Amino acid sequence: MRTALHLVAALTLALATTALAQTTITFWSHTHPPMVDLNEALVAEFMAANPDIRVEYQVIPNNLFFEQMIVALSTGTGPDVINMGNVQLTSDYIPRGLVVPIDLEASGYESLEQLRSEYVPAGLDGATVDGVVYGRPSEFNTDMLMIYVPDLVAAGYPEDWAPATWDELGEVAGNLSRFDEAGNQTHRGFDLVYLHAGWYANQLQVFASQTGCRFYNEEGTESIINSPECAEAIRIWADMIYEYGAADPRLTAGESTVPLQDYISGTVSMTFVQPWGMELVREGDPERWANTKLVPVPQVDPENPINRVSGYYWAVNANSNVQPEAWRFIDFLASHPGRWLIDVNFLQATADMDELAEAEDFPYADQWLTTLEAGQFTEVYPHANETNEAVRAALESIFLANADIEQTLETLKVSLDRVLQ
Amino acid sequence: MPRLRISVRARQNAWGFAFALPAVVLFGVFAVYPILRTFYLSVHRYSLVGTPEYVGAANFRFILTDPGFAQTLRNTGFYALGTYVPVLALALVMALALNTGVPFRNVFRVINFIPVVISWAIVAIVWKILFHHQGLINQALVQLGFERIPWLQSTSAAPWAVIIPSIWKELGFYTVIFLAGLQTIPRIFYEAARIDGAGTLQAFRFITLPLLRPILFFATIIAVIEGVKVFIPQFVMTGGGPSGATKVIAVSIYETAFAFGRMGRAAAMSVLLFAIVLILTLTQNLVYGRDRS
Repeated sequence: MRTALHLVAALTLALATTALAQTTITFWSHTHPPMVDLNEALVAEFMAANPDIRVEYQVIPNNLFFEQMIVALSTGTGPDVINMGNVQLTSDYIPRGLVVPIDLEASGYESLEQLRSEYVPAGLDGATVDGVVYGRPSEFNTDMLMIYVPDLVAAGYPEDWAPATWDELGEVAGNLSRFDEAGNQTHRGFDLVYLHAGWYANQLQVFASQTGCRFYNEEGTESIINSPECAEAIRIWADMIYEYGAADPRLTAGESTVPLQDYISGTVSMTFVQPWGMELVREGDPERWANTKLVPVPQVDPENPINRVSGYYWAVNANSNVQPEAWRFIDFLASHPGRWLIDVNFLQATADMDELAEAEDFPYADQWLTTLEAGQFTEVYPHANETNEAVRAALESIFLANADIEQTLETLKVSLDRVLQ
Repeated sequence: MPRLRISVRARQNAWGFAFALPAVVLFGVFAVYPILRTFYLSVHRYSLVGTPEYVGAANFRFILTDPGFAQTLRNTGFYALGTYVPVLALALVMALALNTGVPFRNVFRVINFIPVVISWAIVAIVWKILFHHQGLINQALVQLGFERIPWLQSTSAAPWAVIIPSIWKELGFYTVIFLAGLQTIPRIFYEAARIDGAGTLQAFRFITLPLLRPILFFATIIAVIEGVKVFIPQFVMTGGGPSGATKVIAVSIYETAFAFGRMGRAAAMSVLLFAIVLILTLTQNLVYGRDRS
């Protein structure tokens, strides 16, 4: 009798649970420990506030993220909610119909204008194609130069030193580099991050946006990467290795979970950082963060500074059968810009960003906003993964084997023209 | 009404077929269908979205005129030869040594086989750390008075950085294969040869090698297939880089299909890989068959 009662109770509970949790939203993101922590917290809060919705959150390793996501969405097995870079979103996902336009009603907005007014003027541009908006910004990125001040002082430079041009950076960074008795470089004055193809292309855009380099022409019919502007952009990077002895890609840790590991572990004195990177350094080594300062990235033309802007956007899978709930969930994620700012150091490009209470505690808030004002979205090009992979191979031959830049770009142009076929 | 007469043989066949059916169905779904689908997709343009569009031989034309694919073919050939020629030679020597009365031979056999049972992904990660510019191998080289080698960052060193762990990992498997073959050769042949005055080398040349030929054939076939379809060491250690120096066919197929969304081209590459393996296997069969006759 007791067993029967237990059975009935268990069945009732199971049925009640099933009745409550009628809708399941799946959500995938890449690996970034502080972001994952906040995502998990927000997922829990959303489920507590919406007992009829269950959110299954999954983290995909960075080096497999782009492949897994696009294959999953293409084959109808992807998550309901994705978090994706603006280049991939506008070059692959939106043209292939893998994500849907924003559902204003489910998101709680009466019009697109009302939604736009929530963000800085270009806030939604990274997820907009032909005037249709497909996502909401989870992070809005631009770059600053991160400097470990004690290395600077030890080399005889003042604490407030900041380079205006790339040559100034290269000369000082070369003096910050250290070598062993055999002449092998053991410490780099300045270097970038050498990870997957997306990172190579992304960092090249810092220089490319300043020199006016584009991978493809406006019509997207031909590659123009063999232009003098692109050669100049790559030469800035290559000079750090060969001209100034500041950088050496062979020394990189190549750690994709913590991309700024080289800076955190002290093998690099200066590197680029985006807002999200500050939290990684602070978590990785609080003392090093305390001795770190951020300054604007050097410029080709300091009188007319240009900073590239990129972003990640939350979007909804076109094959999702819970799209309204998915947009509601995204609206919930997007409604905590202060927490994203302070817990993860993600700028969400909201119009009132500088008025947020949390902005007061956000490191270098004014400088980030100034940098964003001079920002322009990176070039959107077709077949982003394929293009990035070809660019990476070319950059590796220049940075690791000292291949001739102009000749390499001629070969790369042929490869990129084939990407368009 | 006449009774249906079923012979014992027919009943046995029916039972046999019934028992084999699950395996046949699974084989059909997970092996035959994907192979047929690959051939189908190789003549279509398909990005996993929508329906495949027939393009004839366009995918094959694109691949065969692609300098990048030619490089992956060269890389694959270099890896297969660079890994499996030494592996087969060393494994034979190792098997001959372990087939004698050498002390602690069982211990040596176990040590030799340990790398085989370790996952390739783990092996690749560990060797990637060892080959880091400031890793253990370069530290040792510096201690010995040599220059550091940019193992994973140099287009000339990276292919060897993938081959060295491959030799280390594969050696044990082929040693066991050869050892099993050696143990099937009756001792009496060697004793008779010794009575006739044959030395060690002559015994190896005229007894061991001929009687080991079927095993050599099997091992070579397996080695060629393994060498041509290699994926994990390149994918994990170098991602096919630097600058495509270690990009082998399987990595290129994966990248083309899943990173670039070009399923048709990836399928065409797979068909070419299948053709390459088939031709190499048939050639080996012909060579060994001619020797046998």
